[in-house]
This record gives sequence, C-alpha cells and structure tokens, in this order.
Amino acid sequence: MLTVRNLKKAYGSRVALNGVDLEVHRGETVAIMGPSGCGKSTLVRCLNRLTEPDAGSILFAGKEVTTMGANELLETRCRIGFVFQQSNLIKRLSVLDNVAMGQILNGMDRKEAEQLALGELARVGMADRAGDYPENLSGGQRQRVGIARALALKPEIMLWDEPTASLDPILVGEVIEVLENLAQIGTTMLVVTHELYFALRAAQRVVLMDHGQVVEQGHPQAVFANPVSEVGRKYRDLLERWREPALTDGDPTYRPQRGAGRRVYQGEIISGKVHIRTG
Amino acid sequence: MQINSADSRQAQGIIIRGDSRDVARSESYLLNGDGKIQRFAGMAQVRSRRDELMHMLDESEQLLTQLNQISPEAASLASNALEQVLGYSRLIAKARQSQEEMEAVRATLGTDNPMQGSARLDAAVRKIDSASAEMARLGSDIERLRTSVEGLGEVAAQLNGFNNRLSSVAQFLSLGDGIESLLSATRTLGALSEGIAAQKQAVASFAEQMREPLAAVEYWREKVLRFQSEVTDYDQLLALGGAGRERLDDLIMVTDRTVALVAEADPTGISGTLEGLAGNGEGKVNLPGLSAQIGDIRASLPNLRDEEIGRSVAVIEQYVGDQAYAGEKVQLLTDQTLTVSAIKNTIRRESEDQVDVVVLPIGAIQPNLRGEVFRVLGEVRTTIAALSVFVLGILAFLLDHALILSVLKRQARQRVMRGSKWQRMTTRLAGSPYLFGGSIGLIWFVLAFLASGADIPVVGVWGAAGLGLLTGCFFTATCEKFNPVNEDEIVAGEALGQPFETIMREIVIPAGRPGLMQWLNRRRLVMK
Repeated sequence: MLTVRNLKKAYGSRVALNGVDLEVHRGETVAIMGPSGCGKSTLVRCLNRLTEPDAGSILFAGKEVTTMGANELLETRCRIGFVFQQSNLIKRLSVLDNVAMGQILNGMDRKEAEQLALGELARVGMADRAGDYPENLSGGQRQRVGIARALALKPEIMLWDEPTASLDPILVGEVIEVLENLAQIGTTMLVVTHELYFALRAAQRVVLMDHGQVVEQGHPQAVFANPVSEVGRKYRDLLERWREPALTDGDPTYRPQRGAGRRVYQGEIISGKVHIRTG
Repeated sequence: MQINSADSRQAQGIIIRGDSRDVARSESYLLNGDGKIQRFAGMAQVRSRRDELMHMLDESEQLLTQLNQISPEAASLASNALEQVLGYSRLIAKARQSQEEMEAVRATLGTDNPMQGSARLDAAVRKIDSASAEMARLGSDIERLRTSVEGLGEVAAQLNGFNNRLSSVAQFLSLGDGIESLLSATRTLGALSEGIAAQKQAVASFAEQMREPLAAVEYWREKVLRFQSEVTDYDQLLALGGAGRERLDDLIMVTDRTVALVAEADPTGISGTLEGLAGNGEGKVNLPGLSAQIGDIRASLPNLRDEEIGRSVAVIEQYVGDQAYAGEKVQLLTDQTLTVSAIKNTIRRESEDQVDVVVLPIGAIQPNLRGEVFRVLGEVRTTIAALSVFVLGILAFLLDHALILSVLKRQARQRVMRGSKWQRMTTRLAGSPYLFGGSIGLIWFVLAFLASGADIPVVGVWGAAGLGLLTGCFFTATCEKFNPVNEDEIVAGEALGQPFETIMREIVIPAGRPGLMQWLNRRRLVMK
C-alpha cells in the first residue's frame, strides 16, 4: 500500500533521512522506533509531504507522491490520516467542529459531517465533550480528538507522529488504548513511537531507525529478542531491565491498574521518554 | 539670480539672493545645485527699477528746490513788468505829450517869443526823457524777465523729463497704495512744468512783440540824449539856426515814429501770464509742499532688497490677499498700464468664472494673523494627514499584513529549491516575503499619501514610497512578533488536505488580530 524507496531529506547540512526504504501493507500496523533525532518524524511527515523530501520515491496506492501536482496531493492527503504529537487542534473551533472540519471543507453536508464526527468522537470516548473547546481538554483528550479528526477522513492509512510523546504517564494509556483498538480492527497504521510495549503488543512489524536510515526491521519480538543493530540491542537491554520475569523472557505484557476511570501505569523515565514497567 | 527666460544670446531673471546694490562686478557665473561657482556665464547687466525710481525722486526733489529758489526772482520781475504793462497807456500818453511839446517848440521857432519857446523846449525834453527812460526800463525788465523765465523753463523741462520716466517706472514697480500718491505728485509736477513752459513761451513771444517798439524807444532815447548834448537851451537852438531846426525836426520825426510804434504795441495780452509768474494768478503750485510730498513718497518706498522682492514673488504663491488659498495659483506680473478690471474680466471669461482673481502689489505683502493661522492650520492638516497615513499603514501591517507575511515566511522556509542556481535564486527572490512586504508598504503609503493630500516638509511622495518600502521590510522581518501564525494549526489544515486559500480563510486569518482582512473574511468563513 505504501512503498518508500531511497528517501532523502536534509535540513541544511544535517541529514535527517539518508536513503530510507520502507513498505507498509494494507491492514498492517508498523511501529517506527529509534533514538531521538534519527529521522522518524521527518520520515512520517515526508509521506504526505508535510515536509518536502529532497529525493527518493513514495508510492501510495500505486501513485508516486513526490511528483504529484497540488490538487492530487490534496486528494492524497485526504486519504492519509495524520495524528500529531501535539494534536494540533484548531483552538477557535469546538471539538465537534475540529473533527468535522475536514469533511465540511471537502464539501460534505454539515449535518452529515457532524454525525460522522460524533461517531468518531464516540469511538475515541470523547462524544460527551463535543461542545467543548480544545483549551478545556486534557492532553490525552486533545490527542483523542486529534485521532478522531484523522479518522473522520476515513483514511486508507493512519500516520502517527509520536502521539504519546507529550503526554504524562497517566494520559498515555488513553491514547494507547485507541491505538490498540484501531490495530485490532485492521486499520493500516504507521506509528512513530517510543512505546515499547505498544510495539510489542500491537505492531505487526517494527522498524528501527538510526542516523536517518532503517537499521533493522521485522516482527517486534524477533527484533527485540535478537537485535542486529546497536539500536535494537539498546531496546533489548531496556526490556531486560524490566523487573517482572514475564517481561524479561521476551513475552512482555502490561497489567494496567484502573483508578478514577483511567488506566494508570507506573514507570521510570529513561532518556526523557516514558517506558512502562508493571507496578 | 533665478533665470526666468533665456535664448541663445541672453538670459533674464530676478535676484533671489543679495541685492543689486551689492553688485560690484558684472561677470556672472553659473552655480551648481550646492551653490558652488561653475563656469563663466556672461556679463551681467543689473537693472533695478526701484533704484531708478529713488534716483529720479531725488532728482525731482532737487529740481523742485531749484525751482523754488528761482521762482521768487521771476515773480519779482514779472511783478515789475506787470506794473509797467498795466501803466503802458500812461507811457503812451506821456510819449504823446512829449510829441506835442516838441511840435509846440517847433512852432515857436517862427515867432518872437523866446521865453515861451525856451519853456516849451525844456518841458518837451523832460517829457521825452521821462517817457523814454520808462520805456527803456520796461524793455530792460522784459529782457530780465525773459532770461529768468528761460531759466525756469529749463528746470521745468528737466523736471518734465524726470516726471515722465518717474511715472513709467512707478507703474512698472507697482507700489500699491503709494502709487496713487506718487502719480498725484507726478501729475502736479507735469502741470507745473507745462505751465512754466507756457509762461516761458508767452514771455518770449511778448519779448519778441516788444522788441521793435523797445528798439525804437532805445533809438529815440539816444536821439534825445544827443539832442540834449547838442542843444543845451532854446537860445542855442536859435543860434544854430537851420541846423538847430534840422535837429529838432529829426527828433520830432523819431519821436513821431517811436510813439506810433509804441502805440501799436498792445502789451496787455501778457498781463495774465505775468500775473501767473508774479504769483497772483490761479493754480499757483505750492512748490515747497510738492517737494515735501516727493520726499515723503521716497521715504515711504519699501526699502526691500532684491532678494526680498524675489521672495515676495514666491510668497504670493502662499498668500493671496492676506489669505492662504488652497489649490493651484497662477501669478501674473503686469505693469499698471493694464487695468485691474480688464485683467479680471479676461481671466473670468477665459476660465468660465472658475478662477478667483486677487490683485496685490509686489513688495507690499504683509500676511495677517488670519492668513498665518490658516497657513499653519493647513500645514498641521497635511502633517496630521501624513501621520495618519503612517499610523494607518502601521496598523494595516500590524493587523492584517503581518499575518500574511508570517505565512509567507513560513512557506519560504519550507520551500524546497530545485533546478539551477539561477532558477533557485529567481524562485527565492520571487517568493520572498520581503518583496511582498516592501511592495505592499510602498503601494499603501504612496496611495494613502496621494489620496489624503498628506504633506510633510522634506518628505514628498518619494519619501512616502521609501518609508513604505522600509516599513514593509521591517514588518516582514518582525511579523512573527506582531502577528504570529500557529504553525500546528496550519500543518493540521495541510494534513486534512486543505488548499492554501482554505487554510488562510479558515485557520490563519480567523486566528489573527482583528482587522480589515478578518472583517472581510468573516463573510466567506465556512467554519464559523
């Protein structure tokens, strides 16, 4: 469904992507992982040309994205859902309008678009906040609205750019749950994440990146069990540090604690990122 | 000098710096824009009508003084002559009596009455002597009068010459209210010199008329004196016999001819002229008064330097009739051979009564308080308009264009340059937000300046253009500080597949500062 070949991007003298090759199949959930600054976000933003790549090829549903004209690119973007790290909601619009906005501006009847938006909000558990404004929502709620907005486009593929990166540990679970649900129903997704447990549980394939290149990819458990790359080894070491035996033998599971209507995770901060360990 | 007209041979202009009295050398040079001397331009011929006028007024005053000094003598002579002219009939009578006495003496020569003859001869000789002496005095007086009047006439002729030029220069200079006083004086001077010329003519004519009788009287008097020297008494006359009779007959003949000539002359026609000269007639000119008037006029002449006159010509551009007039002004410089009404009628006819005509003299411009206030208010108005333009321009940039510039800067940052070096440079330049900002600033400021009639000294339309350009570039450089765009919202719009126009309309402009653009955008907004 999505094929990337030799994709390159540089910001001045700093190379962000240095010949990335990647494939995503329909219904597949692919997790892209790697250390900060390795080019994950650049890669995912290049896929719908929110960031213009310098070179390479991106085939989406058989069409070359990098050479598309403006109108065709806009149509393609409508077929690709994008969830941002910061949710990127329009502050002056209500939750409902934020979600319905894409379809309304694309010409759908307003009522029909709002019905659709309400459905997507219900899917992420935010239907009761449809009339609120983003500033009145928590980070996790805003992120769920952002997910609903992307889903409202009925995309063929969902791109996630570190959707939990800016959330505190308590809120991460809200987003992860939505991600897992989408994965379970076969939504094609490419997820840039630092969440190991998500990769292990929900992704069919994990792609490890370092210095703008794909250094290793495969089934998550296989990759993390026998890593061939330095990045892979670091992730393996991280997994081994988990205390619970079940987690150290390559079969990690998480057992969320429920409290005040939310899933609660305990963990520690390593290199600025939250990694889950059971409490 | 500021050159007003020029051809291949000469140029004419007005002095705008300095004064004609300061001109010591006649070489002239061209000046460049900084006032530095450039190449030799030619020989200058300076003509100051004002100085000419002052010189002529001085000369006229001197001539009047001279005239005033001569006049009493002429008046005295005229008075004497008049007295004699009025007594001319008595002179004729006296001459006739002496004639009769001489006839009586001749009649006694044939009789034996020597006593009677002697008495008659004595009486006849006395009467002839008296009459001829009076007649000779009249001749002398007429001659002296003629000489004096000729002197008056010469002064009057000079005065008349000055007066004509004075009138011409005064009209050219256009002295305002002073011109009436000066023209009045010149009219009086003209009448005076004409009167003196007429008197001179009359006196000369009279002298010519009396020349033959007076010559005869002179001859008659010589005859009488010779007769008296040769014939001392009646006895000697008798002793001379025939020779004595001949001498008596000769004297009687000369007496008859002289009396006839004197009687023919009618000097009474000159009496009116003599009365005028003597100061007894009508229309007598008050020479000291006229002289004082000329002095006053000279003192009241505006003692302006040529540069001040040159400036006053420019000042008329601002002040017309002591008021500051808005709109275009056309300045017509004329001499006073053209009447004001004729000029007004012509201009009104040609302009279809769309032009106000105000007549005022050069050099008599004294802007009043009202005019000054209007001028200052006008300057304040234009300055306020200019400042308003600037403030509105700033607001337009702050409220509207800063937002657009922020978006353009974002796009410029994200734009990927492909192609050759020149293509990349062209693309970068064409898409530069500074080009857009500078152009908008320039157009906005210039249009607003022109539309509002704004004006600040030194800052003209080019200044406004430069200011607009700089303002536009400044706001382009700092637009994100004044009106930043929400990068996340724009990217969200792009991710939703929305075109640039829709993103601007639905996301960027509504999120910006309230302004004209936002107000206009509200009607087109879908996501309200």
